[in-house]
Amino acid sequence: MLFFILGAFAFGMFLGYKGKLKFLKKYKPVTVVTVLLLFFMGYEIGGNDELFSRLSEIGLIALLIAIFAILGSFIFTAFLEKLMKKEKIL
Amino acid sequence: MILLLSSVVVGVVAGRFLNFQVPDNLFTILLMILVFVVGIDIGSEENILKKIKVNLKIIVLQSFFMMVGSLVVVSILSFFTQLTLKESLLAASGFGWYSLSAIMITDLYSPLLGAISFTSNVIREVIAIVIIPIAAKFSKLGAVSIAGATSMDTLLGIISKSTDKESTLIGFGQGVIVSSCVPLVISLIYNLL
Repeated sequence: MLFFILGAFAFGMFLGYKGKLKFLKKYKPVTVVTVLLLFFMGYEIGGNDELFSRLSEIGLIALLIAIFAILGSFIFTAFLEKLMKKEKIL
Repeated sequence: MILLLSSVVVGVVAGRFLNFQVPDNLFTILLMILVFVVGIDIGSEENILKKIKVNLKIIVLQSFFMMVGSLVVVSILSFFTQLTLKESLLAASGFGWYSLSAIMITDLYSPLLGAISFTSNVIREVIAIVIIPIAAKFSKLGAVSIAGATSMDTLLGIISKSTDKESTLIGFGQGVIVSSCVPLVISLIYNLL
């Protein structure tokens, strides 16, 4: 699956590089497809009874993990960004 | 942002009340369309080949710092919750990729931790939708890192809307590398701790 997705990305980059399909931009395809993906993600969660009924039981601990993970990623990479700007890599 | 959040909410509500089976490959097809159109966007940027070359080192560093940052800070949780160090690290090691990490953890460890992992990764994605546009004002790479493994698919659109083309490219690369690392990180933590 990863292979097909990488392939689609490479193909899109190739066409963009050749200056093709620029007219697509005015239809905002990125926004449209993102909305569809998020809708179906929600649909899968809502449709899974077991997961939905256990949400409150496991919700708090999951929320803590999510917040800490996001904080950690943000702090470490923001530091990396500062470091790279200082070294003029970025 | 409100549009994207409401897509999730409407999706959950629809999932509760409708009984329509989503085809398995729908996600893959939508993802392919998304990366294809984002690819066109990035490809039409001038001097793109040179930029990828320059960015490769940054993409690898960014992915590494993103994963280490998540794991280090989440390990603090083992001091004041009922989770052990191993459990908290396992639950966080999906880096936003809820389906695979939850399945692997349910299989290896316990269904409860699998469910915790699933939920925390879903929550990570939902929080990310809200704060990536805000975080991008402080640090672009920091904003990219919040998306974790999903920076190449579900959140790629949000990253490209709130940062610049260069950060979007780094985001896609981060998604590819982190996604490839998820199975590896889970087995490493499971076997070593």
